[in-house]
Amino acid sequence: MFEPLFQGLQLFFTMDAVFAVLAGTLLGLLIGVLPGLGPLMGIILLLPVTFHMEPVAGMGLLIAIYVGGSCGGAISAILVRIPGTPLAAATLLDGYPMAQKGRAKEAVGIAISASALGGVLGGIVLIFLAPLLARFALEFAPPETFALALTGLLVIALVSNEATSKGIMTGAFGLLISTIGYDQFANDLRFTFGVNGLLGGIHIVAMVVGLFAISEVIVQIKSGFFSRNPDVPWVRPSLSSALLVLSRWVNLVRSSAIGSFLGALPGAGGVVSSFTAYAIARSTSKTPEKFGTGIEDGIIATESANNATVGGSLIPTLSLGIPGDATSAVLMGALIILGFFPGPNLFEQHQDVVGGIFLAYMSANVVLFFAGILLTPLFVACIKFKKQYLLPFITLLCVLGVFSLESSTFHLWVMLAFGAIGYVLRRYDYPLAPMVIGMVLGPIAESNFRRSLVISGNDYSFFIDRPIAATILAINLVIIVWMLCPKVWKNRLLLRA
Amino acid sequence: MTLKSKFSLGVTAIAAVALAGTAAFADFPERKIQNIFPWAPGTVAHGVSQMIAEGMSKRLGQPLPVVATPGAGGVKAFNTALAAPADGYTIFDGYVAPLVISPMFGRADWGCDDFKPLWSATSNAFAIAISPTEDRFTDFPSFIAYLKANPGKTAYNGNGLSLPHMVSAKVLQSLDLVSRPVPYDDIELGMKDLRSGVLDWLVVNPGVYNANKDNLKILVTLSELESVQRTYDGADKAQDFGIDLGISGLAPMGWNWWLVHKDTPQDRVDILNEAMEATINDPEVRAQIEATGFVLTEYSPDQYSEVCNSAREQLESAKDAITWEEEAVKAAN
Amino acid sequence: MTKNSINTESLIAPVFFLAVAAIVFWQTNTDLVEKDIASGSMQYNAAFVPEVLATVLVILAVSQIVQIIRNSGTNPVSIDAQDDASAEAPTERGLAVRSVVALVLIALYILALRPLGYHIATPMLLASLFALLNVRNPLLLLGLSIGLSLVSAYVFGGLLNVVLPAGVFEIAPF
Repeated sequence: MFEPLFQGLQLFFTMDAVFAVLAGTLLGLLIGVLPGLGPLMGIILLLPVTFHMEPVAGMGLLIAIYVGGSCGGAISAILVRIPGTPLAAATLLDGYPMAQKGRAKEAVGIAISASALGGVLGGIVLIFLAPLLARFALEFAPPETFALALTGLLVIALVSNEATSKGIMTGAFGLLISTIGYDQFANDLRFTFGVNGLLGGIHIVAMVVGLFAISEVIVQIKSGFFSRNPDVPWVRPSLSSALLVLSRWVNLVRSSAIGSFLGALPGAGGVVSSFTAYAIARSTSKTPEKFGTGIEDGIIATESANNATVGGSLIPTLSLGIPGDATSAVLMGALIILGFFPGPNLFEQHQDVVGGIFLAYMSANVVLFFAGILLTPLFVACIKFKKQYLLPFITLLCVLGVFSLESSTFHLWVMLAFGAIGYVLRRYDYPLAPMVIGMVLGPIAESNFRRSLVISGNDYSFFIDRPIAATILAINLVIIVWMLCPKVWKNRLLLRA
Repeated sequence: MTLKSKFSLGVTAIAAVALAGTAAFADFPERKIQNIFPWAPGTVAHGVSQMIAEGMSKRLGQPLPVVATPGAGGVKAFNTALAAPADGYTIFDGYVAPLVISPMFGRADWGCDDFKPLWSATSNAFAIAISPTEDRFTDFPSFIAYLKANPGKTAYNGNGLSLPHMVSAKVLQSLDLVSRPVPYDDIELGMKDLRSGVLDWLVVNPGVYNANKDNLKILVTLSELESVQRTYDGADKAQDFGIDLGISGLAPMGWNWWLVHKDTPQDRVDILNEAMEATINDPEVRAQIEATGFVLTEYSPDQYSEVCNSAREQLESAKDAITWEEEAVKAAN
Repeated sequence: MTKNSINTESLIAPVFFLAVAAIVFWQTNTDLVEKDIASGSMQYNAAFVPEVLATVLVILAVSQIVQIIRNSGTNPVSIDAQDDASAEAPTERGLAVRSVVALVLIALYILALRPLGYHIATPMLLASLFALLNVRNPLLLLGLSIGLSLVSAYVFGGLLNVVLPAGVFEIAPF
């Protein structure tokens, strides 16, 4: 069980990797603090940089951004009532009232300590469960992989709540984009229109940078207020807030467990976990009426849950190669580009890399605690950043990052096009996450489907004769039926349950 | 001619002279040189090209990044490099697939002699491997016997027009064996399916062999060269069983030859060549590369045309093997 | 804003998806047929999966369009339109224009990057973006543009070894 950790020590304790985790956590905090930019955006902006690094250092950087970014939003939520990321929306419920009562210092301290501790608990779950799940997946062959990839795709559509059909549309679009390029089964090119840049398909990084970052720049410009200066109080939290959080250990452990469980389920993510943990903390509290008035337990529940989600979401991503949300889909894409295919193989052959990733994740949470507490004044200063300076800088990062992928201007055109597409889709409430997941899972689903048929000699019973594949496919069928059944029935069923 | 246009003409002329002047007197290279690498980054092959690039960079005094530009079996990388100016700042990492195979199948329209060669870089030889727990066949002759008895019933990793597949199809054709080729993006993924039991055998390269020694048993190497036996820890070659695979020399191997644009000035090519020759003779670089299982081929630029064209002729004969296999598999099922 | 114009605007996304599906069907019925990879059993048929996906897109896009048109009668003013009405029209419009200008600037940058080289094109892009976002102090604007451009060039070109375009003037300090 701990074998990967020992093997990873060597890879992780290098100057590069330790520095990457340190820098990543700080960058993550900063990006989380800045309104509009979340961990996903941070990961996307720094993604191209990692391809020039050692694998563990590169993944460490990205995961640290994920960790830092999942917490940073709380600082701006508490101080200026603007959640830096949607993840911090629930933290606002008690964080802001607490700050208004003159306890901003404690509120920020609690948020950071709870995040770090929740993250560590999520990490422990990750370290125990991921290898077990991976070992189970060792038996998986193309039919099982296809069935599982299909589950990943379906669940994403399922959880895009009100916008199920919009989610399916963007998901299908992402899947279609992934078919561009060379088709190894037919031995020829698809949808390349004689354009050299398309021969290798659309680069996922060019696509996500455009879809999320460039579209965000457009949204920000359209919303105006280029030189607005938010009014922020100065605070300096103390390290002792960790003790306060630890004294509420029941809430901490429960919320972290909820966070890592929901994180491991495809589609749920940090926002859902923080609200769920908050609701459960309130309903089990002796003084539920105090929630929303600035109570410590409110902050502890949301922040520990959304950081534990990070650890949870890495479980299916690393061990099965099934990302649960857009952020882990991007992380999985990065891992593949770095030459490591997530799944049981990763755990068997590259234990050192897995261990290095685990260690990077754990260390990021430790760094988060100290850096968060000590450097909060610095991040507070960053909330004062004006858009007019921030947006050109973000644009520059996008352009340089995407260009550096293959020293190619073609990718820049791809980025720009997806920037415009992303903007339109966001404006009309089409979820973007299914598109990224479609892009990542598309090739896996299609190639394993067709590969299964090649292996079986075009015999479809291959999918049903294998018990694991058949089980997963049956679950998929249930999901599809559930999706198709009208809302009224669903509500009735849920009520009865 | 108006005064204005005369003036602008004058400025252009001066600028042209100035530019030409700097070009003539400048020491090549005065900025980064890039190697356009045709496969995905992070692979063993990418690492090997980076080792050579680093050695050359030290000698040239400029960085030499290896830019991974995967797509369409390497054709994208070649097109990208062809679009760059012929000034010696762009090197083609000339792998067999884009250089020789793609034109053979009409996917590209260049030939060996459309480029100026530097030194040849490396080769990596393929081998036929099975799971160590396999009991239906345990050596090459019993493998042949089993496949003969069960035509089209077994499956292996054979990816379309890729080199390892062409070689394996050729070998199967020579031995009159039929097995079903299953495409995988890379051999590592095929490795997983050999273990889960849906593949019966695997064509491996040194990188995959080194990473999976515990889960692989080499039946036979697909090259008769001594160095290849060493790469696979003294595995048998077909000749040891008195079997002719119908393909020999560099043809059954993956290899790459560093090339530049045909119109690159010779003085620049000479500078690059000097640096590359020194690099591949550097004991440190050699040791690094050998540790990956890749082998330095050490052909000089003068030998390029002959070696490349003869490999092309041999592979031309393997081209039919792919179509032969396709039909044989169909007939067997 | 009239209710008709709202409808046409929210039709953009479904129409876009219909166009994507149309391109897929056009290709699978021309290019892929010419290459002889659009038929046969599923594993060798390159057109099968894209056509399934495109069909899904068509069905859902059409149902979206039907929904939008049907809703326009019962619910003439969308939330979106209310926002538009309450906001100050000229600034709203000015901001929309600026966001389009920003996209055009990036497009011009991509065009200029190879010929002019990184070290000329990048400060120009940054300066024009700063100006677009109301940075009025010329010294600050120039200083930031050149400074940011050089620092990023050092990080990407120097530390990460990316080959930044040198352009016709062959400027390549890192």
